[in-house]
Amino acid sequence: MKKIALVAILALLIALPAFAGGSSEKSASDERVVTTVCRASYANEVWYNEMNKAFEEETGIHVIVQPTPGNDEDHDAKVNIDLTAGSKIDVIPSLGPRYYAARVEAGFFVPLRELVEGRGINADEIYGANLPVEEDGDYYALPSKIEAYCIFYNKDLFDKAGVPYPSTTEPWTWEDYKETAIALTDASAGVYGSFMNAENPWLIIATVQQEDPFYKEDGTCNFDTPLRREAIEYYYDMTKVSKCQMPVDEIMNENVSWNYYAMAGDHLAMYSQGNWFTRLLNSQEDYPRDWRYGIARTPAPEGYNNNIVSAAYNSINVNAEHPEEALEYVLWLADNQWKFEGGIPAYATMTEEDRQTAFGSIAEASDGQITVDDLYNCLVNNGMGAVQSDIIGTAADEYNRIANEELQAYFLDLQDLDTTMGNITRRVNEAIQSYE
Amino acid sequence: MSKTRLSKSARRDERTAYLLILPFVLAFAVFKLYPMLYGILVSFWKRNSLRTRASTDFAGLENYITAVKTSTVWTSFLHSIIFSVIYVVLVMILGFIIAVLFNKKFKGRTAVRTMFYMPYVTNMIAVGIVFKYMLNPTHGPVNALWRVFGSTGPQWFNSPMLALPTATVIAVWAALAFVIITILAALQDVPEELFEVAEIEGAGRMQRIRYVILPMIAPTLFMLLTICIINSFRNYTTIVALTNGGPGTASRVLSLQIYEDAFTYSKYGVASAEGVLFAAFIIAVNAIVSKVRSRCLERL
Repeated sequence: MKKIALVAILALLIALPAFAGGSSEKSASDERVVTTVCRASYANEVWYNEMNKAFEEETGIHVIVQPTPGNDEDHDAKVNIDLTAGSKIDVIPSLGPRYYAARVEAGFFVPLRELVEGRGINADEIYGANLPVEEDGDYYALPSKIEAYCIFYNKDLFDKAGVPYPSTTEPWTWEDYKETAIALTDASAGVYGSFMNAENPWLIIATVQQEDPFYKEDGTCNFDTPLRREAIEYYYDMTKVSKCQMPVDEIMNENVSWNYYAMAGDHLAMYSQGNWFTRLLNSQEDYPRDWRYGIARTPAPEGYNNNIVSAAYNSINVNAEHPEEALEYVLWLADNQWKFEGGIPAYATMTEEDRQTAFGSIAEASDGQITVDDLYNCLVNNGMGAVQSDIIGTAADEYNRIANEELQAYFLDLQDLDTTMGNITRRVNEAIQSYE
Repeated sequence: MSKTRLSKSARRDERTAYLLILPFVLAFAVFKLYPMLYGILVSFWKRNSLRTRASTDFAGLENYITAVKTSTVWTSFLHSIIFSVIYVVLVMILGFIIAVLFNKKFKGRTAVRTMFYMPYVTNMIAVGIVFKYMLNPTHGPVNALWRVFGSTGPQWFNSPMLALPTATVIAVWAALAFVIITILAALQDVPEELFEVAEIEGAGRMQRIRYVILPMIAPTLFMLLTICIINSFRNYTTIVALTNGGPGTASRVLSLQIYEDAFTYSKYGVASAEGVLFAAFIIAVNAIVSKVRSRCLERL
């Protein structure tokens, strides 16, 4: 009996480490490797795998990717948990400044100025305002792409409604956009003139362009402002009064991921999205559609001329196991990710060659539906200023979630605007107070 | 001599017994006891941001005060109570009725039993996907019935009045099998003679339930009640799979609030305090149930 028990315990002790292991992927000791994480959706994207393959071929450094399952918010939460637990992943991508700022503040990233300048690279000059320089004068990431908002539209629905296509060179306002959406809406055919996501920044898009601050000077919540109310009432009018925008309850009932709508142009005439959408619109295999698309500038509120812009950053983890390889990967991504993903480079200025590289393949893949000039004029050369899409500051994540929850409740007619504003202000202030 | 041998044998059996439960004790200590004790410690530390993730600075009762002063914690707690009450009442009553029916022989009993047991072994996320499709107001088959009569039908998950009860009923449906199996096992232990005597005495169906079945299976029912109360508060997966706390905060429960505070917003101190308070509440409720149980069983 004793022997049986002893054998059982030994077997258990031997078996236990099998459950404690991490990634089963191992590399030979002489092989140079770099580790990184990515969203689950990226892991199967052709461009992402080709990009890493190109890096491997160019540098001889093997890229080990750990995809995080779940949606985008899950991804960032999981990356934060991993970093909190002392993760040794080398390169950490941050999509949007909200997560980047929080991670820098937490001390997760290596300062890069000295390392990059040591390679003879002047990042300030190359990336200009897109370089995320912190108060200490250093930067903790290199930007790998810019994401600029714009409008995509279904040319067939415009033709059917006899509405002229929006200009790629002239500015237009959100009132112009609404008028166009009303003209395109055909309730009997289930066609909505507009589709904007039922979440921030779309629910308050004009106020983001107006740079209405989200925090007061004393650091408390500043959501309830006249401009914000105006922006919310605009979305409400679009859905409930003019009925030219897909209503929030319908979006919530559909309960699908944002990329689903790349295929829904048969009943959605205009989308407020960004350059990331071209990848979906040009991928007939993954997102089949039988309608032609066009691109237009993001409308602006009367008297303002800002577009909403975001950026993607790559940083080196302070606990990185392969810091040298990580630096090579981060530098390479800053120069190359946009080429593979079909994005906009984060350079201070775009050369003609960059322009052709960035937009040429997109225009080509669109089969002539959009041109390089269309893309350049709507996304870059639009004469618009750039404002961040994210809420950035204390408890920003929670602020964003609370605003989404309460605004959705308002658009579902569950509460009035005063209650909504009161709830957001109270809850965000509670969140700010509980945050250290 | 015989006594000594027996004693040695008993000691050997005792050692074997300890060895056999050792894996469980180790796993419990590592995966349950340690996290619980650590959680209590964290609830007293200033650990409420990514920056202070490793802080062990003593916060006193600050995290507890923040937790009880946060309005969403109270609304989430209220939703947890509503979920729990609906869940426990429905699962106990329906479980009992169905188990009594299943205790009788009827044609197709095995097939019907299997149908009732299926949800128990089905993953809750899969259940969520299926029900979200079934109850979709525009495309779902359930609301198609309403559309036949010219109505759009209820907004199951988009109505603040319906979202939480709908999610709770689905959780009941998924949990029913366990209650049915347990009550059924208890029912099969009730001596047949008691039913025969009751029948001779002229007891009707309700009287047989009241005076024969309930007293005989009362210990099982109280044990089930305790388990169901605990399970009713472990509703994170159900809510995430079905409503994610929405619309707005209409179905936000405390388990979701605790998870998000900790793992989405890195407020580990506050989240731990919320967890400790919630655990204390559940322990208090079960202590009350335990007292009621003792009194009831004494009377029986």
